[in-house]
Amino acid sequence: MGVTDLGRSRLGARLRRLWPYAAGAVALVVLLLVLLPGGGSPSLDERAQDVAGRLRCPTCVAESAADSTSPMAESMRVEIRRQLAAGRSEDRVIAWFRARYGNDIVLDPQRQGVGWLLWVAPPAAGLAVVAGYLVVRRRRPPADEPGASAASPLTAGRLAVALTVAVGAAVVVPLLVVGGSGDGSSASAPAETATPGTSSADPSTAASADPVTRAFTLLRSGRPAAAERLARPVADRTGADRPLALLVLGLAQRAEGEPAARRTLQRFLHRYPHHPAAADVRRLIGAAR
Amino acid sequence: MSGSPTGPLTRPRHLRVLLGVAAVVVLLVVADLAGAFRGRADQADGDAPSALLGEKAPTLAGTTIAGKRYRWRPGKVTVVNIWASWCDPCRDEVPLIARFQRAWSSRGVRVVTIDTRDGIDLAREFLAKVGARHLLAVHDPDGRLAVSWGVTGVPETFVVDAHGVVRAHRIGEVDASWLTDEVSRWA
Repeated sequence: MGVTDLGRSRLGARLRRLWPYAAGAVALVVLLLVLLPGGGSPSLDERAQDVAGRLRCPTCVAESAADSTSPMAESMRVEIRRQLAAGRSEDRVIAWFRARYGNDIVLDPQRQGVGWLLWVAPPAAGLAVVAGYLVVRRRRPPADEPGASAASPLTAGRLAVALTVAVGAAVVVPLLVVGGSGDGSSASAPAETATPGTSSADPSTAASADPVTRAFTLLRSGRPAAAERLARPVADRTGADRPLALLVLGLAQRAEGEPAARRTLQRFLHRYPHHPAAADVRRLIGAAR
Repeated sequence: MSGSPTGPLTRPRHLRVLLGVAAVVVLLVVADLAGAFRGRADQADGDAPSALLGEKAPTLAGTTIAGKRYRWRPGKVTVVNIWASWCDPCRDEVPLIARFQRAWSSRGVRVVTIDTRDGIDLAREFLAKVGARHLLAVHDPDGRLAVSWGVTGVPETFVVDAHGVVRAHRIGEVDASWLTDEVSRWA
């Protein structure tokens, strides 16, 4: 072993000794960032923006009410601002929306109910890995003793296993728990919509949407093939929802790269030249030319 | 536990590291699948039933497009329809709602509509054109009323029982049989 190798191995040993502390520091910072609220007192606009950013735009895919330009998101921002101006807290405003749109309206996982797992699990996993590493280190002989290089491979293996378990627990458990429970944290409904003593919702009274609305939802969720299947029968017969069916069908075909898309959209324009979406469709097929 | 790094321990070490990495990958894939599965389940629902079902109906008050103050109070089964004159399916649906209102008002059923994010003149014009001037329409220029009912688009329709509890919800156009069935159930 040459002098350089020896120097490198000492440096390596020193680094190995330091990294748990570095990892611990990172975990601590993450924990603090997650748990501590920001300082200062934000303006009404900032608070409204913050609340809107925590709510999903119900008519969009993966867009917050703060980012979306949809009319619905705009109305949500108006209401958020009005409620904050009336002195409601951010959490109460969010609870107000949750009582009306369900838990899915909230974008960030709640720091209550089972949602807290999503916040706590990642830093906890980091700490667990560091703790595991320290335990393993204590058990093996010091780095400069003979046998150290043989012990470290074992450490790497254990570390990998510990990391696997920690990452697995951090990712899978909250996902399954939150995903499985769905409405687990709906206890915070505001007073004005508190459930009366009557029975709870009867699922059979919740009519499902008509095929075209469903097709539209599927199209917006990136499932054009399924949207096409649903929209086609409606688009092929006369009826009140035919314009939308034709439009959804054409857009679904377009999303799938089908040449028939253009024909369908032209049929839509021909039959419904004054439809609110006509101008956009004209632009769309004009651009594809 | 002695020997050089290239000794007999090499294979187990690599095996362990490999196993560890493989396990991480498997877990990430499982997590991803779980997420995708959840997403797919959500999409398959099309529209989730309103969170308001079985709950007390939100406040419904404001100025009607005829210029009168209005505040809804429980006491009668009420059909609440949200529409706008710029919405094509609503234009098809409003005449049906108006007919339903005429047919059922004598049987103690109330029909209240919310005209959301609409020009008041356009809304008046449209109602006059389809012979539905009598329809009670609360004007909701900034969409706040619609949001307070958890609406995601127009048209949407709710049925509220006489105690003020939301009993049925429909996204998209309703037909006469849906209205009759739901209202009869709670009237």
